[in-house]
Order: sequence, then C-alpha cells, then structure tokens
Amino acid sequence: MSEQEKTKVMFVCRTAPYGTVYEQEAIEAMVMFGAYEQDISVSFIGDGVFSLKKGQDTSLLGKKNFSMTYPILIDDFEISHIYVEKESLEERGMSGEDLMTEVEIVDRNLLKQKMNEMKALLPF
Amino acid sequence: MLHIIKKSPYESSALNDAVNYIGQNDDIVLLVEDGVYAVKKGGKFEELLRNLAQKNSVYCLLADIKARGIQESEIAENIKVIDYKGFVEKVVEHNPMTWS
Repeated sequence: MSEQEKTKVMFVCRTAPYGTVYEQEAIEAMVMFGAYEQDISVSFIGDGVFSLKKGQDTSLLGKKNFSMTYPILIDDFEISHIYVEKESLEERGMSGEDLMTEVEIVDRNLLKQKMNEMKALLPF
Repeated sequence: MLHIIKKSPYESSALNDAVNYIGQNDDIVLLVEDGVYAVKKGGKFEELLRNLAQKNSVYCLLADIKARGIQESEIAENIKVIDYKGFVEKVVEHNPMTWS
C-alpha cells in the first residue's frame, strides 16, 4: 500500500496505566490497526505520560506490564510516531530521561498541528 | 475539530485538557453527559467557558442539561444549546475528538 493510500490516525492517550482499562484497550486497538497497515501515530498527554515511565514493575499487582509493549509496537507494528507532550511531562516533574522508549517530545502547539492532519483521532 | 467533552470538570481533567487543544476559530466545543455541569452560571468554570466562547462556538446538549435539572436561565452567557439533530450536524461538519 503506498503512503498516499494510508489513513492517518492518532491514538490520544490521556489516562494513567493500571487504574483503568483504557491503556490496555488502547494497546489492543493499536495492534489491530497495525495489522491493517494504516499510518498510525500515538500521542501521550496529561496523565497518559505516566504510561511510558521507566521502571514499572507490576509483579505485585498481578497485572501485565504494558509499558514493555511500546518498543515492540514501534518495531513490529510500524507505528510511525510516538509523541509525548512536553508540558504534561514538565507538570509532572518528568523529562525524556524518565521514559522507557524513544519518543518524540513535542510541545502542545506542534501536537495540535499534528492532530489537525489526522483523518481520525482515537481517544483513550 | 469538534471537541466533545463528556466528563464533569469537577472530577476530571477532560475540559482542561481539551482547552489546551482548542485552537483555530473553526474549532468548536460541545459539552455532553456530565460535561454539561461546566455551563452553570456562578460555577467554577463559568469564566473559562466565557473566555472560550469569545473565539470558539461552545454548545451544550439539551437532553443532558434537562436531565440534570439545569435550566436554560442558569447557563453561562454565550453558550448555545443544541438538540440531538444539531449534535449530528456538528459531527458531520467537523472531525470529532472526544475528551472523556
């Protein structure tokens, strides 16, 4: 499929992991979309930025550590961009060094522009 | 873009997060479900919505304000009320993003 035919979609992740099922549902949907070779971006804003924090250990919680999924999504499911909003990181005392995978840290204005380029926004 | 806000601003960051992403004048805002609690005159979010309504159209859904006992006279200035038909029209005209 050529680049022109791909539909640009962006997952917008606004919730922290584990407290709700949103992140799990988002990842399942990302895998599904990945199989259809769409042009997928994922953005993390607000409490969503906690999903990418390094050093998550869910063994005591008895839940799967979802953060391990993102590097695989990038490599094997061809997610084109992972954006993390700079302002949300800063508000939470975090920076790129706190994140467990290579991401693009962008400011709100740039992310707003990216959102406007999308055919569909998928909020989680 | 059409920004649909579904959660009460008193318990969720939905409205505040949306405000950060409401840009151009053709971006519009629609408050539905518990999101409509933001419209109340004298409430904490009246000023925020008044400022927003100066450059973007702000709507709330009739069925949701009625269900929650909010009278039209209690709605902050410049917030428009629309029905389900109007809601559908806005969704057709704009690319929607839901803040829940």
